[in-house]
Amino acid sequence: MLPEFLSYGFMQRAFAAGLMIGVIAPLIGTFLVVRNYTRLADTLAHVSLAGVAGALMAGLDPVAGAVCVALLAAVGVEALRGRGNVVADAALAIFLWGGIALAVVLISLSRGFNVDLFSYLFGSIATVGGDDLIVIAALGALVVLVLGVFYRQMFMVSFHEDLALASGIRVRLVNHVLVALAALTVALSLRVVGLLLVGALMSIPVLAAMRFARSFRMVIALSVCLSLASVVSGLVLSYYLDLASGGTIVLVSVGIFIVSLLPGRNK
Amino acid sequence: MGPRVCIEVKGVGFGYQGGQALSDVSFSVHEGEYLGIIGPNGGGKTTLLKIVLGLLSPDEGSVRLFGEPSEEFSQRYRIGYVPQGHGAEPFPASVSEVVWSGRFPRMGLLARRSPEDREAVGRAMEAAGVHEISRRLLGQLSGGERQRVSIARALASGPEVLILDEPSVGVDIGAQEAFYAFLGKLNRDQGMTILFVSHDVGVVAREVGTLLCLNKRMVCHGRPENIIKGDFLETVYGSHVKNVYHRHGNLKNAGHDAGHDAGGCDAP
Repeated sequence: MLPEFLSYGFMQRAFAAGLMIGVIAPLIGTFLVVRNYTRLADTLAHVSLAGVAGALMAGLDPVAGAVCVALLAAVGVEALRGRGNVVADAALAIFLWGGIALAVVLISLSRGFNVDLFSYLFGSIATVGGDDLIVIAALGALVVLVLGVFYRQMFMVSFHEDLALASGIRVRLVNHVLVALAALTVALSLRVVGLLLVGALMSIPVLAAMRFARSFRMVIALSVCLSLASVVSGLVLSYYLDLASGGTIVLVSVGIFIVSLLPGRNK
Repeated sequence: MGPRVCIEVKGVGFGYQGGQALSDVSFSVHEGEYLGIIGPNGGGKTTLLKIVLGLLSPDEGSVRLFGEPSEEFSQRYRIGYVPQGHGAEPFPASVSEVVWSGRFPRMGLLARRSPEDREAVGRAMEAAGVHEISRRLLGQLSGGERQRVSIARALASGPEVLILDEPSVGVDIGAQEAFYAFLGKLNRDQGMTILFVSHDVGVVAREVGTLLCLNKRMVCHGRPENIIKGDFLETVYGSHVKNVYHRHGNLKNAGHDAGHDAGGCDAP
């Protein structure tokens, strides 16, 4: 017997999407958090808005638009950072502002999709369709697979870039793979929590997990558990209390983080 | 035939935007050698290490590792590197995870952990004395413990050469003594080739078999007892130096504010 909230098709799809994003967001988020690079998620999320706007104008799938633009921006950020003449923060800021500016211009060019766009800003998990689920499942599986293949390199590069380089690891390639995976994750998460809160879903469960974990693997495992707990309880709460789902999910994760700060924990 | 050459540096020069950091540096490190590199801050010690490790490409000259040009050398795991600071940032990993990561380049990045890998990692942890803390988080360790983890990580790949950058920074005196004793033993008993950079002239002179003094160019290179005499400090570090004596009566340090032109010093 399904609980009442799962008797509706839209809630079933919302849960399916939420659970998948709940797994991949902290997986990638862990590598961003330990490298002090969570602003990348925010930047890519804002840039994706331009992709969504462009796709809506052209009558294409908005998630596909977001994925393409976020990937391009990810490669751009890494190229700008890799050259060494722009510091990482500035490279991110340029893309963030550029993305918003482009989105605003596209929105002003075409009136009439403001409501749709709003759902990408704040998330609208209840409107996830069957096609969206297939895209999230396929690309989500790709993210997990690639991360599995590159796990050791990513650990080494995150721990110490120079050490990894001196051991013969192709650091630039690994960095590009990481930002590309982050771009995919961000674009897929837009419908669930909205672009303004994607970074939160990718980092807050990780920050809470770091308070309890005794190893790097445990940080990853625990952050996935905490993220899933936030998604499930956030969705249930938002259903019964008629709240915005994205905001509720993130508020639950903030609550978990606050609990993790209570004395008597790990550090 | 003498011992094999592990590292060969020939006519290396390197400049940053602010000016020339190194010019015309040439030396070789032979198998089993224990080489210390000293010199004032800004004298190019770390730059030279980075060039040897392949982290920087020299503007002039060349580096050969085990007979191969550095840029084509693919077996980097044969050289263990212990960077400065020992990961002072609290990275959320256990000691065991960090030491194992030193083994990854040798075992392949997808291969399963073989019994041989387990043995090598176990040996490295035991040699560096981190077996008992292998389940602790890096952030819970003291500077000395972190340093030992760093060494264990470098040893896990079964290197033939160990390169250390300022290994004693952030480590208390007692741990430093034990650490240098450990390095000396590694060199004597296992024939490990060691190259390390330090600003601590006293320690370097006491421990190493060969000394290389660097102040943007090579000032001297040879056995410490042939080099450390007379106006040696002034020659390497410039004129504003003070001699300080260790607990053990060794000459400890030279001024950090130096950086003047070194003048000549007879290279043996």
